[in-house]
Formats: sequence, C-alpha cells, structure tokens
Amino acid sequence: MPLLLEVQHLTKRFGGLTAVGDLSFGVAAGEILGLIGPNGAGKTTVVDLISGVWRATSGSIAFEGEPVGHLLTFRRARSGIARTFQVMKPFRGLTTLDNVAVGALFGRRPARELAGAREIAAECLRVVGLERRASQRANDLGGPDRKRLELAKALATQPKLLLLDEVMAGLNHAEIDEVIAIIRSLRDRGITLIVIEHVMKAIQSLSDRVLVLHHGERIAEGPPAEVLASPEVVEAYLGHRAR
Amino acid sequence: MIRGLPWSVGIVLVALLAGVPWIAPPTLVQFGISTLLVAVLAQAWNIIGGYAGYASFGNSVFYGLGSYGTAVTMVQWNLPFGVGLAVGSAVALGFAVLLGLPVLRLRGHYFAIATLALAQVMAAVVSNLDIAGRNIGLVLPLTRNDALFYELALGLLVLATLCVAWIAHSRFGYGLIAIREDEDAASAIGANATLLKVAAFALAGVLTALAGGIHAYWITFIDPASSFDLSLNVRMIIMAVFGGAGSVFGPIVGAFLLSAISEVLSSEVSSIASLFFGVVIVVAVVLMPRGLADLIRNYRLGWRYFARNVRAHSV
Repeated sequence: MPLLLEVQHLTKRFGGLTAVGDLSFGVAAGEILGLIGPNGAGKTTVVDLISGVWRATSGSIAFEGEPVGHLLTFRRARSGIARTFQVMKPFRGLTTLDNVAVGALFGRRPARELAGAREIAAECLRVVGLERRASQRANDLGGPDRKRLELAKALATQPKLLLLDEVMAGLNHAEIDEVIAIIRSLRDRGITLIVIEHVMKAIQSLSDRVLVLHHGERIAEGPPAEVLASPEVVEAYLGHRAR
Repeated sequence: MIRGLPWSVGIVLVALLAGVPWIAPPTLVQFGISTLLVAVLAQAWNIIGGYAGYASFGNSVFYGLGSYGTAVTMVQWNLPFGVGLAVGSAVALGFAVLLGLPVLRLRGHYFAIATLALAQVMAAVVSNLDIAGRNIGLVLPLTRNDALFYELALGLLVLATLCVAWIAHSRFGYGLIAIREDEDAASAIGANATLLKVAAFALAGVLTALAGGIHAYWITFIDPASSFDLSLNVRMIIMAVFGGAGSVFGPIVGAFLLSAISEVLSSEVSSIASLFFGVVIVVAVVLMPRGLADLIRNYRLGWRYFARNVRAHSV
C-alpha cells in the first residue's frame, strides 16, 4: 500500500531539549497508527510538526509524496491534514454548528457559502453524536462534548489524514466506547488516522500498528498486542522492575 | 444585533435620517455630521477590533492619512474632492498592508501596544513634510454646504454597515471570528490568518480614511495634532465596545447614544461631561462587558444579566 505520510529523520529541539530525535515512520492510506508513550515523550510535538504548528529542526515530512515540511499550517490543512488539540480550542462565541461550519468554510474543499458549510457541519455533528447541541454556544458545552466538537471541527475540513491528540482523555468508559466507534466509522469513510492516546483499551482495539515514543525517540513499533507486551515499553511506562 | 431586522425598516430609517438636513436647524445638522462620521469610525474599528479581535490603536492614523490625502490633493494639486478621497483611501490601504504584515503578527496586548505609538509617529512625520504644510497644517477650500457633507457621511455609514453586515454572514467574517476566538485553531482548519487579518485591517483603514477625508473638507482646516489624535481612537473603541463590538448595529447605537449624551452634557454642564464618560466606561465594563447588543440579546434575564457579568469577572 502507498504511504500517505512519510516522516524521515524528524528532529525538533527546543533550546537544549530534544523533544523529537531522528524519528522516521510512515502511515499507509487507510491505516490507523497508535502513537503512545509516557508523558513528555514528544507525542504532541510530533502532531505539531506534522500539522505545522512547529517547523522541524531537521528531517522531512512528505504527504501524498509531496514535501510539506516547509508549508504553513493553513496550507497543510488545505492539503488534507487535520488535527485536534489536546487543550481544546473551541470558538467560544459561536454556536456548536457554526464552530464546525468554520472548518467547512476553509479546509480541503472549502464551501463558498455559509448555508452550504452549515449543511456539511450538521452532517459532521451527526457523525460525532453532537447534533442535539447544534444551536448551543460552544462555551456552554461540557468537557466530553468539547472533545467531540474538536473532532467534528477537524472532520469538517474533509481531511485525508486526521491527527487525534488525546480525544478520550477525561471521558468515562461508556463515552470512550462511543468515541472508539466514531473513530472506526471515520476509517470506514477512508480517513487515515494517527491516534495519540493513554487509554490502552482504545489503542489496542483501534490501532493497526503502534509506535511507542520515549524521550522523543522510537523504542518500539508493531502490532498492538505485541508492542504493549514488550518489556521495554512496560519499563518506559512504569520504570524499572524492582529486583 | 436584532435577528432578521427587515431590510425595509433599515431603508426607512436611512430615509428618515437623510431628510434631517432639510428640516433640522444648522447646529443639529452639524452635530449630525460629526456623529455620523464618528459612527463610521466605530463601525470600521468594529471590523478589526470587534470581528478579528485585534484591538487597534492605529485607526486614528488611517483617519489622519485620509484627512491629509484629501487635503494635499485638493490644496497642493488643485484636484477635486473625489480624487482627494481616492488618494487618501489609497494611502491608508497601502499603509494598512505594509504595516499590517509585520504588526498583525503580534497578538493581544502586544498588537495594541505596537499600534499605540503610531499616531504620534505619524504626527511627527507630517509635521516635517512641506507638502503637508509642516506643523501649521493645511487650509482647504471653503464649501458651505452642510447638507452635502451630512449626506456623504450618512452614505459612508450605510456603506460601512453594509460591509459589516456582509462580514457577519460571510466566509471572510467567519474566518475573522475564528481568529478572534483562537488563532491557532483557525489556522489548523485551513484559515489563512495573515491574509484575513490584513484584509480586515485594510478595509477598516479605507473606511476610516474616507471619514477623515470628509471631515477634513467639512472642517476646512487640518493640522498634525488633531488629525493623528489618539484620543479619537479611544473614543471609537469606547463607542464600539459600549454598543457591542462584533455585532452589526451595536457600534452605531453606541456612537449615537454616547455622542448625544456627551453633546447634551457639554452644553449644560461641561465640567461633568468627562466625568460622565469615565463613569459610563466603568459601569459598562463591569455590568455589560459585551455591550448593548449582548444586553439586548439577553433581555429576558433582566437584572440577572448584570449579576452574571459581575460574578463572571470577580475573582
């Protein structure tokens, strides 16, 4: 299968701190890649680098075979790379529907008119199960609903690659199961996903492949069951076993 | 502000306002001209400050550039008023783009501070230009036709309001609102923040410059200090915010109300006029920080609306 995203020797330094070091990986079209690692491993920085919030110190990012590492954030979004933010960023003054409509007005296939954008937005709200909140102000949504709103906004840009940064954090078991089902349905629509998550149940059931980061470097990669059982990964999460 | 305000109501209102110069006494017409112009300024500020969320203190520079562009064209080059307005707007447009590209990269307070000094810088620049009459200023040809200036000012306010009404329901406007609410999130969904912000700044700049040009020809005399006046910028912000920044009609209502009150007060008891403004600002910021427009949207809450605002802003 052709690679939708190919990252090579990606490095990001903040002053003396290497947040991501010489990281290479690819994501095939239609794949779900789980990106895990302990806090501070550099997962969000990888998403920031792919979506264009940061420029890499060195290394290259290719999307559909074209280099995108030099492009501004909005250009990458228009080429089909969308993301959610771990710290949620709703447009507070707008209704839930209009929040999502902004995604449809810009994004990969921008709607020219507000009415058309709202139609796309309504469909996206249905996908994430937020249609009953459409006319509420984003500011009045609770935490779990804001997570779904993040997802709907990214979805409205009609992405080919969707980067999900901890969309399940703070959700209860029932809500997590719902989000897992939503993510599956996105893949069925042909969207390729990179999923950052601490909820192992979700990683295990969703991912075709898991990439484990630790101190900005890859320490393991492979099928979820295999990777999650490896001693190195357990050690990165829990520390050395006492002898 | 008022959802689904029928166009017919707007047209009737404008027609009524347009009739004022034929029935009202001259002093009232003059008050009307300055009020309409200041409403244009508040409405223009609303585009960059209210919709895009960039609190500009540089709008009085656009006003000054419009005034001087018009004056220099008419006085030094003997060209008609219309050409003067075009020159003033073009200069403001160029200034907005050249200045906006670097300055609009700054966010929040940093943007406000960066634009704060511009008026004084421009006043100093103009004071040293022969073509602009140095620090003495310029005297424009006298035209005693207040009705004409009144209708021009009204026409400009209608134009500015049509622009804002379009913005409120357009892709451009939604992009600006997204930038105001969260610029990183706006970029992440594909909004070209730089282009949108510069376009908003330029549109605000052109409308402000047109008001400056009309004012210069009406008042027939301009000098650097009064053309590049930071306190005028503060006034447009107060009016826009009092009426409701980020709404279509709020800034007009704010400008009309505050102009009328300040006119009445300064003719009766001038000493308390400025005190009144201070009190209005403090009360408005505490009780209705989102302006009259938001108050009207939430009128059902009654006094609880004020209580909610007080609670929301007390720590």
